[in-house]
Amino acid sequence: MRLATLVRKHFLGRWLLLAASLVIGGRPAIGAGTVGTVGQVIPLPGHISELVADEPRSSIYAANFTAGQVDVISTSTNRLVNSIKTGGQPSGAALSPDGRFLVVTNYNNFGVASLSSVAVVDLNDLTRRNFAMSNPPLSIAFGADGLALIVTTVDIVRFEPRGGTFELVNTIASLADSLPVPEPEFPRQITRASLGASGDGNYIFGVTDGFVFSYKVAPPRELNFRLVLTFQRAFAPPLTTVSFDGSYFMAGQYLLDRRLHVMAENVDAKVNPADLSIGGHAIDFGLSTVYSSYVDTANPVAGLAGPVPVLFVQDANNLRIRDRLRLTEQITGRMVVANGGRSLYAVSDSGVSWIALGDLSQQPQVRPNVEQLFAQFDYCQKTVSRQTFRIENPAGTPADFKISTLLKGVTFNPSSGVAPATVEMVVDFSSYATVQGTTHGKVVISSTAGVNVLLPLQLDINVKDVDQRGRIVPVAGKLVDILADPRRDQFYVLEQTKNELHVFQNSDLRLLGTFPTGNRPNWLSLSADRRYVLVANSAGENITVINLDTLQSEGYLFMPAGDYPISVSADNASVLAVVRTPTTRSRVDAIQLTDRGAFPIGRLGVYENDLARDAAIVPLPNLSGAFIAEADGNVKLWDANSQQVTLARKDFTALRGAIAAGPSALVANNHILNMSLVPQADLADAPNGPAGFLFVGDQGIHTTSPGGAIVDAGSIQRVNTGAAAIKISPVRMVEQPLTPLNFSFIRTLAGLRNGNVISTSSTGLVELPGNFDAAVSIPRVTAITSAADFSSNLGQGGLVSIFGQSLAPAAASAGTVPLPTTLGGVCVTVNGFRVPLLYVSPGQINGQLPFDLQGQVSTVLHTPGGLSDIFYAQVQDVAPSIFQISVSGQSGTFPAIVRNKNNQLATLSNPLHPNDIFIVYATGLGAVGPQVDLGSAGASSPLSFTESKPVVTIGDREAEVLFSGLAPGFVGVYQLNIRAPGDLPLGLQVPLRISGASATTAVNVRIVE
Amino acid sequence: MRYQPFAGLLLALSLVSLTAPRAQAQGQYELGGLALFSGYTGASVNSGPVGGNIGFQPGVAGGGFLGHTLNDRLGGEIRYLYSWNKMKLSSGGTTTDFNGQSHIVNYDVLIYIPRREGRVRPYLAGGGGLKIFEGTGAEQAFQPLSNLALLTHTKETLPTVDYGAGVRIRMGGNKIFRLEFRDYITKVPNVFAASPGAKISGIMHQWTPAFGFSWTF
Repeated sequence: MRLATLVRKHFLGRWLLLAASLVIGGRPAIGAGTVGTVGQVIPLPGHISELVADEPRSSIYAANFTAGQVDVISTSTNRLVNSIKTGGQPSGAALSPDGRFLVVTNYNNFGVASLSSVAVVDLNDLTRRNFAMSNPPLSIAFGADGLALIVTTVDIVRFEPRGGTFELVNTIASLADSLPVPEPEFPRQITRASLGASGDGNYIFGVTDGFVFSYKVAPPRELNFRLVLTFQRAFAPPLTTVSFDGSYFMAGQYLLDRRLHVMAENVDAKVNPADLSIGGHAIDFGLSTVYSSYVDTANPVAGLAGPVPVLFVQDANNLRIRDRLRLTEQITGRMVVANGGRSLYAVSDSGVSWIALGDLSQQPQVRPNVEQLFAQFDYCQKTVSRQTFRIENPAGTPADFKISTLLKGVTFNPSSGVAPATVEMVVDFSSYATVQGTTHGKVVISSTAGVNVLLPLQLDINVKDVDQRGRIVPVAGKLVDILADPRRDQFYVLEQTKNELHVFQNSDLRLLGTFPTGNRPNWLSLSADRRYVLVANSAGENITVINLDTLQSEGYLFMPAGDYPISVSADNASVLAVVRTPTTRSRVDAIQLTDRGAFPIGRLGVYENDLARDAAIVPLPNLSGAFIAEADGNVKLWDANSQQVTLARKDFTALRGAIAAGPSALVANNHILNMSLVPQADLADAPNGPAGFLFVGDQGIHTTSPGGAIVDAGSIQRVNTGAAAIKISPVRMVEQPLTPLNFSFIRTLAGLRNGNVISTSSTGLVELPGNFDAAVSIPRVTAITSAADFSSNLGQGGLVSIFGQSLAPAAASAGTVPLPTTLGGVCVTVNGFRVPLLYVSPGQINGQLPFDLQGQVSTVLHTPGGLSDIFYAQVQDVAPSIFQISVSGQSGTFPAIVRNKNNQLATLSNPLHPNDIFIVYATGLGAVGPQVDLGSAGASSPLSFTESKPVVTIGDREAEVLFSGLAPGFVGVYQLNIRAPGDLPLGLQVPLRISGASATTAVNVRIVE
Repeated sequence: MRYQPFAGLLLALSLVSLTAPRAQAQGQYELGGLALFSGYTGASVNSGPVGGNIGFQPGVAGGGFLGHTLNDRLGGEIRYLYSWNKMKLSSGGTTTDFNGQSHIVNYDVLIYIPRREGRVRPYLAGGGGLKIFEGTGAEQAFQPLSNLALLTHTKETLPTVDYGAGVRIRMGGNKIFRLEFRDYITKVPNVFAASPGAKISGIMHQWTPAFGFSWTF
């Protein structure tokens, strides 16, 4: 790092200190331009190499490498209160378990090794003893036995602080640089080693630039090494942070378990030896939380260039990022949790930063309540799409926000303001009139005062034309694999950014549950007995095992050191995983599911166990083996009986995209192979590119997706997988299916037990019926009646039933209120008004007539099959009709008249009596006030009354109408509260009439005394 | 509004007191109460090929009477009887019921077989009056067998004729114990309503054996 940069960092540090003091001293004023950050900088005169927390003395000891001293910070005042000279450059420091000694390693190898020493500071009287070391010490940590472990440039030694004695533990390779070094370099770049002890002192873990090791403190002491070159990437920063019981620890960007296996990796962390001064981490024992800071290469903060100081709050089991907080200053080294978990101290650019963890929830924050925004236009909806969402401020402290997107035709109201707020997104169809498919964008939400950093929201705008098939179910995130469960009515979708396995129900695509996986899940497989789903975690040396019978995660299955699984498959005799190794190649490991272990396979039959870096494996349909496709064009067939690869060919220069295995054919990309791996045919997809392939019996289903920036829907079609590879009935999908992104292979199609097909797509999922390519007929309307009694009484605002043929591809019911105007791909217009729909089916549609209609009206039906001819009907202002309802166990229908006395239907055995009060449910009673939006339910407060009160007679007696208006909670349903006259005529079949302005309806009721 | 049975009784008694001949001597009048059992024979209901029975389930009955002696062998009494019997409808093994009750106010002529001086005096009785049927159950929208008939919360007053027999046993002093039975005959009341298309046929017999105590004065 250049001197100018260093100077600028210190200059910035002063301003950030001012900003931090504003944050801590008082909440920032909205709109004042103050940037919301967390952390207060405690400036120190030098570069800090290590921090040690002394809870009983309310102190933090900062080993000041360049100043040759330990700076003492009070955790009560967060000020520098003292400095202790150490007699050298303190590379490390540790507190003895009894809290009496602060032991500092002095790294003084200015060409004379003997200048190095260990300084033992008695904290009771601040006296110091120095013990010379023959080799420069790099780092130190205390075990529970009261002995310190010290890593030097050439060995590991134990140190007893009272007597000052050393004991060699092991000899290691040369480490670290010799002083002096060229400027600018920082302590961690010079010493390149770190030790950390578990909270209980039973384990010590260390990392250097050559290896990582574990040390068991209690006899028999154990020292286990693992070379850094067996990891996928170098460690950055070279720091260790250990959990309380030593079961896991952070080393650089890795989360390792006690056996030095990689549980997870911060794969987006920038790993660059030149930036080893950036980053750090700490583990909060109480919360199983990892706090870390690094340069996130995959998710740069919008609008801010360069390495933005961010504190990541992560799950301690898979490093899923729960939160991102903007830091006052860049963290550059050790982080320690102190004050019983209420404070976090971290080495930072200007010295030490104090972050009040206990107050984080009080800091201004802005958080949208959605991860994804979705707008859809179709042949019915061609105006604007509106969607509201909330921007919350969980701290309750005012925080400003701004919302923007680069997509055209999208506006937000308000586009800025103070959280909490409700924001309406309006998408104008005119900007997408020429698009068919889904346009993707991002919505950036920023806040000056808010301390949290938000990733952009996913914005998907879909335009669906008449011929496009499928229903979109938005699912946020990066969906990398999909798998149907042949034994259960559910399917599985792997989401990679949040490390989650989603379980969806086949019938309605309802999300049944979500399981955490390991880091960067990449591939799924069911075990041969279908009891388990296995998840290959590509950023960990493990596979997540989930028991499908108990719906419980059974934790990790660990791979051999250095092996990152990227694909997994189970057949009748074996479970195989394709794993990336620290080399540039991959290989196949065998998994022992019962023992939760795995081992590399020496050779694959006559072939070397050496695969291209991207390779995928899928089981054959009868589980008699597995099919392997590699990105370099190789394909292999694994035979479960002989436990070896029996066929291998290379007929292609590269492979990418779909991989599938059928009963008599195999597919890689758009190539169809026979079971001898001989290419049979290629699916010509131009102008689109191949996407997914799914075998359904001997046939296949193939999807294509447009490439590049082209916005268009993909296609789906059946394929005869024989040599001719005949494509059958291609139809367009509602939106484009996914194609590979970071990994060369992807499965995007799943065939469900109910016959439906699910495709992962750019917005989430697309559900298609099994007969997605069935010929569609033009709809024909034959009648429009009242939905209440199927009479010809059609009144304004009333519910109507439309009868005919081919009215909809399939039955569908509205699930929400206000009612949708497009349902099951169907919409209805009456005099151009869009009709809210309750139900659609091939033979009948139920919907609500608009209020602003009278006289002869024209009705047109829009379906995937086309437009219906115009159907004419007569609509009255008021044309009542009483609902006829079916009752379970009773034959026939009954008028919806309910006696108030017993709240039961008025029937022959529950007759009306003189002076009874009863309720009639009807429709078609016309306009109401206050008005209610079309498709919305009547409110209970205020009630909506009909503008004209109908006349009700029973026999020849007029009844008193107590209330006439919309039934609260119902769409298009009216309620009449009626008091029967006292002189009612008695009888079994007495006519009850409701008369509007120009229409009357009647039903018979029984009247008794 | 709930029916007040004793209001009708008092009215009847007042009428009797105005119309009956004045007592000739002490012991000409008798006031008593009786209670026991009430049973019915029912009627039938038919709807096309489907048939069923309607009627009342066995119940309890109780009431009172005021009698007077006309001569050695002839007497008369005005009577009130309350009966609690559930209405029932049965067909094809299915039975449904509905709470019901009835009130009878009638006048019977008693013909004593032995002369007045006998300690045990059997007698024959016969007369007529009014019977009020009332369904008191909770109306339900859907009642089993509603294709045949409906048991509903209604009330109807019908004329009734009755006949019966009994025996009076003088217990000593002016106390009398009696055992008797009556058969009250009415047409089928409209608390049983035939469903559209169904037809009810038959007459109702209410059999009421009872015992009672009375005092002469």
